Amino acid sequence: MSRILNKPVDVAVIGGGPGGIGAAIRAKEDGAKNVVLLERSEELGGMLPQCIHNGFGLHYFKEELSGPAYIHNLLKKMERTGVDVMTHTMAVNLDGTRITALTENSVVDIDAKSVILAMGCRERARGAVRIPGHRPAGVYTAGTAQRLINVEGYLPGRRVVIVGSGDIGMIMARRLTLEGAEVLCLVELLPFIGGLIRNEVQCLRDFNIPVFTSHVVTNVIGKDRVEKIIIAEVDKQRQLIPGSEKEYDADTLLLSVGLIPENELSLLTGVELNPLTGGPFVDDLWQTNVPGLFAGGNVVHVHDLADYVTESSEMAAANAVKFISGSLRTDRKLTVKAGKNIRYVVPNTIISDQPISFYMRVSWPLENATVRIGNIFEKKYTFVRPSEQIRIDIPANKLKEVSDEIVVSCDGEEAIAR
Amino acid sequence: MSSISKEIICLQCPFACRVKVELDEYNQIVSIADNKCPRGKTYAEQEVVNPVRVLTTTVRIESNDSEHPLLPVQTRDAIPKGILKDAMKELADVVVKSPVKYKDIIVQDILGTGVDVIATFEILE
Amino acid sequence: MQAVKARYDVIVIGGGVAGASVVRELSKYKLTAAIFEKEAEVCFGQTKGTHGIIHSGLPGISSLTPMKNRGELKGNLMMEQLCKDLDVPYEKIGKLLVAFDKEELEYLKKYEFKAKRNGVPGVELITDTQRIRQMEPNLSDKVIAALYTPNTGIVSPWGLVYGLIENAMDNGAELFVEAEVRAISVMENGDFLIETTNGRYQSSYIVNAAGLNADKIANMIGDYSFNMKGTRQQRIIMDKKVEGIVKHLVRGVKATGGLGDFVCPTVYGDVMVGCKVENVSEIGDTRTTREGLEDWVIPRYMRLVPSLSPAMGIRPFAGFIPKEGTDYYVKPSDVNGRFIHMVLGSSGITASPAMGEYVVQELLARAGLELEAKQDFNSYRKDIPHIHDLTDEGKAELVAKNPLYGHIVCRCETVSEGEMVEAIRRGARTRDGIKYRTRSGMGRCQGGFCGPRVLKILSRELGMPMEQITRKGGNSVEVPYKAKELLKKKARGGSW
Repeated sequence: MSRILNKPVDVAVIGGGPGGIGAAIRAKEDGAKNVVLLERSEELGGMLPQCIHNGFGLHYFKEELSGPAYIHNLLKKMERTGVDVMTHTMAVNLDGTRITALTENSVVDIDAKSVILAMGCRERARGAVRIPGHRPAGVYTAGTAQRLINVEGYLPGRRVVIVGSGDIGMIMARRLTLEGAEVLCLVELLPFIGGLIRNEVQCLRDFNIPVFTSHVVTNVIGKDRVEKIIIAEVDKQRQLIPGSEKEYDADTLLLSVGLIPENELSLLTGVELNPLTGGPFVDDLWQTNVPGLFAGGNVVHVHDLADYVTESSEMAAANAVKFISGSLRTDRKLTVKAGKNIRYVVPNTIISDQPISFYMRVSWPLENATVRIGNIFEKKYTFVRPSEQIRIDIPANKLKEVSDEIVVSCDGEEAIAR
Repeated sequence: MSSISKEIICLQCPFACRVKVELDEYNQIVSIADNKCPRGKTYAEQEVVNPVRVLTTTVRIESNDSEHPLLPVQTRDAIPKGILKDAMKELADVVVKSPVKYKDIIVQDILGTGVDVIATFEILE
Repeated sequence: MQAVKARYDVIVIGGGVAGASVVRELSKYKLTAAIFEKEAEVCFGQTKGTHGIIHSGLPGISSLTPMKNRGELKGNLMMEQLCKDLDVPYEKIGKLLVAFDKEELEYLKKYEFKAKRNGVPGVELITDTQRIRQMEPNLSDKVIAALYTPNTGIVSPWGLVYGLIENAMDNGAELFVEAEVRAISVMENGDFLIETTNGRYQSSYIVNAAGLNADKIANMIGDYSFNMKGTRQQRIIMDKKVEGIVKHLVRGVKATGGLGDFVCPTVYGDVMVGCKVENVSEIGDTRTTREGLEDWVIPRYMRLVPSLSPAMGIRPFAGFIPKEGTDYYVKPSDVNGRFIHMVLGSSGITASPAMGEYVVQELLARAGLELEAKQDFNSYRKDIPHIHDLTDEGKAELVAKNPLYGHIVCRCETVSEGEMVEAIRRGARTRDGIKYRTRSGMGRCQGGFCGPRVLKILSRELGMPMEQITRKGGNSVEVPYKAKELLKKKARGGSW
């Protein structure tokens, strides 16, 4: 039997992406003695090494960087901090804050005083949106295609239809076009583009890629490899409009149809998940319902910016260290609820007296909007969109008067008719 | 005199005004409308007269690390939007050898733009 | 004249569950046998699209299927031991056939009568709704009665095929893939001369287990006695998160043909729901359809288990169950007594052990095949060790022997590189070959994460460039172009 490393560890971080690396560094900076960072793949960085486009680091490093450069900078920051990095190490079981992990040499039991979950999220696949037809080669999620093109060096095809107007879909539209493929069209179920306007301009308009909102893919044809993709328009009730079908001779279908936080490990140890986010219910300390188990980054909810992923994981780590030393003050319990026009808000409970960062998304694009945090704070926005996460920082003293529930809501004019 | 109408989405602020630009037959700006602020006018002018973009892409790299056959790169500054595809063709033949440090110049003065293509990652092995 | 590459006593055409059962049975005797599969790998025909339910012998209302009934009953009793011997995942879970109203209750009573008359063990009609609720807490509370058959089981359909074929090969049988039979003629001495895309072969007997293509194969010896038909069945695999939502196979009574409406656990912990059974104009059509999934499968399974949300679906798919007529078509050809047809149909997997025995011990023997049992027949076979299923100690032991088992590639199903390399050693040459042998790509991300890594492993182990690796053989190339290749073509003068 070769189980080793039954060593007690102060802080264990599961996931070596922009969240996990940030958490590990912060834990060390805040005084944790032994900090271990577990990463199941060969290298650190999570999804960022394959995100060769810019848009990272504006907040965190005050510089516009590519994904690989952002990770490069974070890793430089981690050098000499003494974080124990374990790559090729996959956590296969979680019991409170005890981790069982599989490495290339053995099974490892890590008895940690606190754990930070930073496993990120995964892409929804074709099956989750039930696109009917044949099931040939040539159907990929956008992230997988991104990995193939930018890291492995292969193109998944040359005549591509893209489903979903999230940022990843739009960025891949540009990437594929630049690498010599033809993007025949992009279809989006909703009546509006799901990602940033900047990407709509620089990924779709710049290359004259036809965009069809209120459209879905109704059929995939091709037994071995994709041969044809059929799209059609839907009405306000999401019903197909007969006669609106268009047929494309495509060899590839790319899907950008949503991200889901990856919480299998969390479920193994009884972490309660929020059905609105897919991630754990967390309090303002980024702690889950299991004491000592904190969570940061996309495993909690899908963030827009890697910078925020790093920041939220750092906050989780700072609190994890306080937890170990027993210096977390948890005096009360306020519930936070998502109200009008708010699809979700985190954190879900407030238990400390520290300043708070609320992250939320609205459920529909609104103009001249006002976001209200209970009746203690409000902020006006010219435009709010589901694709653009809102972050509001509240100093601790503002929440002193509230006794048990805060409703976060948003009023505004619909920018697009529902 | 015939004229062309173009719509430019301004990216300067969340309003994302759809600015209408009218051009004459010599591609000179005749009028700009529907911008809520002066920044929109400047932005639209630039976008119509000389739209520029930063190009991010990859080039092939030969190293002892077989897991990374590609090196991420970008143009140090924005280059004219119209030559992005030509730049991609130019870079398709480039093969660098490791070691490459972060921000090393991979191609100097791409297509005579005066802009270098630099590495956005390091591969040292 | 092209030389005969090899001669066998028996050639089995078709590497699905029928052919696999026969060749494993043949490998028990002192004779030479080979199996010819036209696809890139075995099990790539209809078997992989089945649901893996091992029926208990509960017959349909019509009893026009004596062979199927008998085969099902016998096969069910053989399955547990067979799966133990071959290290194939199998579980006895029992079935509840449920009724929502008085009319459906009458159906249940008819079934109960026939089942008892046919000797199906343990059949029980339950009208105590509290007991039904205890057995299945998530079953709709509108259910008023259930017919319980305890012997229904679940198996891994592809696991069974791999088990049978690997064991047969261990005992001397041979396998040829990408070997499509094109023509068959009869030699002077009565042997068959078989032209395949892999060369010319000779045999004294042929078993036609070619599924959908069985009629085409039969035509090759001038036997035009049947035409293949079949039904398409659309189903959905649900996320492992809902494991345990039902413990038995739960099926509604009001369904025509095949399995009808059902919710069932699989041996892997995910849940399968279904099913739209339909005749289609194109034989072998396995397309899913919007109507099939949204208007049929989803509302009908939700009638049984209302709390199972369609959002839990990870993979809609469709299988094609081939059949010749109402019953199995397992008999010697009228044109040539040494050419044995073996067309099963629904419940084919259940019946396969019994039918395999029948074809060899009865039909081939009667046709003249000498059966002398091997003294050294090894009836055991071990599956690829799956790190996911091992205890921590087991994991540690395996990893100590081979570090590749500690390198996890598929995170949704916890599949290691070691398993993938072993799968390739056992015959996987495509993305799907790895998928069916290891589970990689069957989890909730459906291969999004492990896909590129699996292609690299296949490329490395097979010495093939990535651009030639396929999903399932044929034209199903996964990544047809190397980066920069398209750009270079354009630089030389192509348009964008």
